[in-house]
Amino acid sequence: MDLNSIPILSIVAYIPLAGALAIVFLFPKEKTGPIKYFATLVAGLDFVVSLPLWFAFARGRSGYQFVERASWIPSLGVEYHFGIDGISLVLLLLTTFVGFIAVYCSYSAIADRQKEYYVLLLLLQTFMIGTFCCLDFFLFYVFWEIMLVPMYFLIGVWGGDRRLYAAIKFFLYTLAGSVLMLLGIIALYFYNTTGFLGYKGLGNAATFSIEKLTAVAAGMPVELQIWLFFAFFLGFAIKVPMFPFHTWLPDAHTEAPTAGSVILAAVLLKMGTYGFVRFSLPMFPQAIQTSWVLAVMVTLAIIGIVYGAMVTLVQKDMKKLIAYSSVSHLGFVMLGVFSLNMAGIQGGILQMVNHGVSTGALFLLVGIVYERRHTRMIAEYGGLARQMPVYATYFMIMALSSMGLPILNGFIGEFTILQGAFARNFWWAFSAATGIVLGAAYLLWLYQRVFFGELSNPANQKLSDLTPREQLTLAPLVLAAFWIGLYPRPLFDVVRTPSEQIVRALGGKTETDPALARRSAPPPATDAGAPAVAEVGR
Amino acid sequence: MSSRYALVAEGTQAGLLFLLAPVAGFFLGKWLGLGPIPAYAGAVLGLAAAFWNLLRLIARISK
Amino acid sequence: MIFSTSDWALLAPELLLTAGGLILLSLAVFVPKAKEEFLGFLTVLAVVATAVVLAIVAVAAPRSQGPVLGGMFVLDNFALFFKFVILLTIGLTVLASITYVGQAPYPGGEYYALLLFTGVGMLFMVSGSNLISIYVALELMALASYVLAGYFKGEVRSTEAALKYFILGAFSSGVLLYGLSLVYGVSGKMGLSDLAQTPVTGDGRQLMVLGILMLLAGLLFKIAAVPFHVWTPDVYEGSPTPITAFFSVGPKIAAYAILARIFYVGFPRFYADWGLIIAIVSAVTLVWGNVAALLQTNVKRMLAYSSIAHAGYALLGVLGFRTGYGLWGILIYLLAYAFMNFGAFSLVIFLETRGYAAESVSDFNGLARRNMPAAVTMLVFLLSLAGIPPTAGFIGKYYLFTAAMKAGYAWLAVLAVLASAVSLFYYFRIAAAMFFSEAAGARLRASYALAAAVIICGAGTLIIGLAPEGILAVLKNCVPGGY
Repeated sequence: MDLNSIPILSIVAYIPLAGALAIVFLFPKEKTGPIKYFATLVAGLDFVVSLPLWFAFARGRSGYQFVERASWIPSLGVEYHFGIDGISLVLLLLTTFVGFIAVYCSYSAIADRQKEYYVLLLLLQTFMIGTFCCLDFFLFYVFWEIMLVPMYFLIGVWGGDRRLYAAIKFFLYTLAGSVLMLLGIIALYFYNTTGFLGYKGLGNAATFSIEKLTAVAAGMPVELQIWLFFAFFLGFAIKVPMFPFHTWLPDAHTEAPTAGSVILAAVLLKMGTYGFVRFSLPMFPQAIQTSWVLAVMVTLAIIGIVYGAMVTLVQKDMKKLIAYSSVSHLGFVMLGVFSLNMAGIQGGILQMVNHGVSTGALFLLVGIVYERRHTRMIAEYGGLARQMPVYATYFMIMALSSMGLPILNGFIGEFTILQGAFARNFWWAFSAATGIVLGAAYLLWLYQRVFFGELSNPANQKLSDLTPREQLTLAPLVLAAFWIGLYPRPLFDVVRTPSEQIVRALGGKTETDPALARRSAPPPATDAGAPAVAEVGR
Repeated sequence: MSSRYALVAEGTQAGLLFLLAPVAGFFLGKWLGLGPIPAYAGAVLGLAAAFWNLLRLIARISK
Repeated sequence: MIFSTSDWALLAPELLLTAGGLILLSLAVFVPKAKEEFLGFLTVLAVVATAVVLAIVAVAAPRSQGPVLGGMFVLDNFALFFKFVILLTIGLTVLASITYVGQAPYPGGEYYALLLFTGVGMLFMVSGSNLISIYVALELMALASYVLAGYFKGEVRSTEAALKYFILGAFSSGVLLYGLSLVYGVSGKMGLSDLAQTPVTGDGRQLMVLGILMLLAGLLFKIAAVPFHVWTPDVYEGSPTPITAFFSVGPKIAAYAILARIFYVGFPRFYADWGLIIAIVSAVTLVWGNVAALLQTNVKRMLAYSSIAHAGYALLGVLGFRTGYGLWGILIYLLAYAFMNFGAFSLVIFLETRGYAAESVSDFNGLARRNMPAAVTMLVFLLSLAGIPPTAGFIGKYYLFTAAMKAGYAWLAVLAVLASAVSLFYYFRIAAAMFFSEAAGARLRASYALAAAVIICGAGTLIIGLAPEGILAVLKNCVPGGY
């Protein structure tokens, strides 16, 4: 069956919504068991249905695939326009993958109001998938905003002690950024049609199509580009989160329930970086390459890496520690993206996926021990390795993955980003490398404090090791970590073409770095390091 | 209010303010210069002040 | 004779509504307190009948080629749209009032009759094509409203609210009339289309602008924009809640309609003069309204300030009259606003009819457990008020921001979007109370009439949000003064 002929993306996006509605209307709230299993089934089904996309996706073809298009609000030029390219494909798969794990891991964590919980989780899933698939700015904005509502409730109802504060802070902060992005979209829309504020418009038919408007934006005069870049910047930067807009993150992550933190870290944070890669880079190439703009972006990224890592070192709460480590990791991604070359961008995208896997797993692990002891303070633990050896092993693997040890996924992403940064400026790579060192420091130190040493706290002496269900939630992530670490080539293949397009839009060169090709698995029969340049026609 | 005449006086004052405040605002704005806008803004503010004064009067009476 | 029989036909809706009011007044004498629901449903029937007649007139009667009835009355698509909206608000108010007034020790018959008379005033207002006829209709609406505000005679707050509203309203009408007289004095014309064409030069121009500004001031009072909003929190807090709900939508929307008509048809040439003033008023209203709402603990006062802020957003549309989006934006926004604001107030009424004072936000505690559909519907209204997609409020705000950007007021658009984001904070205080807090108590059920009102508002909010194309296509044709 040719996937291009059925609206596969809409199906993938709306299966969770259908599941949520089914739970609302068909399941009374006392039947918590059936609700849980049904929700897991729906999430699993969604993942399974999204898998064929990976296989049916044609690598090397530029443009979007599985496109669906229908008119929604003709008076405005808004269309219901879905489609994915390599970047959105990997993020979409990450979303369905992690979404399934998040639903599955909530069984024992959530005891109260379970029906609403699973409904909200599934709704969130739909909105996130929708955001990644959108090719229409208006629709993108709708999904982007509406995503915040279930997350607000997830944090506010099932969260920790300071959940009310964390929830509204999260919502308001993100909303403030997004509304400015809305103005940027409106400005772009007018520039394309009739002009505004003294700029003559191009006189085209009104549209919100991302493809068309990207081309329009790239042709704008630089001053206007810079304004619009910053309008979009705020919306994305808050989501990433970039320094200094990151203050919502520690609260939201710590107070959210485990599944909420997992989804927040794995998917929601990627929206920001996705926004930069998909929108800002191709739309505002001259603005970004203006020296002061680039300097600002890279400085903020590096501050994010280093400052984030330093703050992580002093955290006493495990969840907060991992939350701040996300700031550091995503600073890495931003550095890769703003290196504006193939290695940097590809590394950035890869690291987005890696971060989702490793940090998602770390949050899961912390959640597991929190369910047993109801405390996240590092001081409360110690010597757990003796009591919970399996748990300790999983934790070690994912910590090493987060650190960037070779064989595991983190290394691939970090190394590629460093390559990209190094090609631009030695000092960028240098500061990023310090981030890696600090990362190893805080993770190893955390591990040592929690797992090694004496089992001094009597409360810890009766802890049970991982149940099979918990292992099942972690195992896929571990497998993914190893797979990407040992054989990243498929991922690189998928994202190569869109990255090339972006780099070309920026006026850069797109030959694949030979060093990159050498490092991945033994080259199969097809081209190993040959420049994947372009007769990939536009 | 102590006597009826005091009340009449207050009411008249409030009413007259509707006339005088905008005029005062208008000329004040004009004196500030920079085109007609400050003059109009002054008139509008004068009106607003008159309304506010009236509201306070009513609040006082209804106590 | 100045007008012919066919012109009478155009007045059929207003005449029908007046007749309805008179009949209700006479019936009220005979109907005992216990049976008052019957009067309420009769009123709804009257409203529906008027709407049907209006639809017939809309379809059957040719659009006015010009103002009829001596230049006083015009029935263009703009007027038709607003008439339907007004009838909708009256119908919703009646539905929401049935239980509320039934529980209060005051007679219901006159209440409903007064509502219908206010409606007549509003229907005439939006059809007015001449400054005098607009003014007269405005007064009719206002007088009936004053009485409604003070309807709960035994409560001090209600009487005080009526007193404040009356006196301040009377003065604002005076200001408006004075502005009107200035305009007439300079141009010698009262008809809106005549005013658009009369040349005004030299000294006359300054006087004319002053007249326009006083006219504007009177109207800004009615729509409760800063700095003429001082009456709103007190009047809204003191009036019976269904009347508050009504004030926040009905008269406000009608006043906006005449503001739009007067400034779109009558004074477009003076845009350079009143444009910036409106921009400043809008900015101040947005800031003041939202900041004040943040500080409120009383729900009714908070919603009052929120409606002040919304008046500020709608002014963005007035700014954008020169672009295609301004008028369109106002129309869609006011429709969305009618649904969402009335819906939010209905839920306050719901709590009041179930015994809560509904003063503080904490009365909403735990509503999610006690009546989940009500809580979810309230959430939809709150999201719409804050402008989060996919609700009607977002669509309306989108048009308004677009209008502001296109008109060149980018700074105002930035202010408006930020204000919109900030407003979420106080709206979600209610949502947090509903969903995050616990409260003891059994399930709360709503009366059917109230539930019907809430469902209509909720459906309107969601339908316009998810599938706006239908209504947008209709609104494209609703330009005033198309003659």
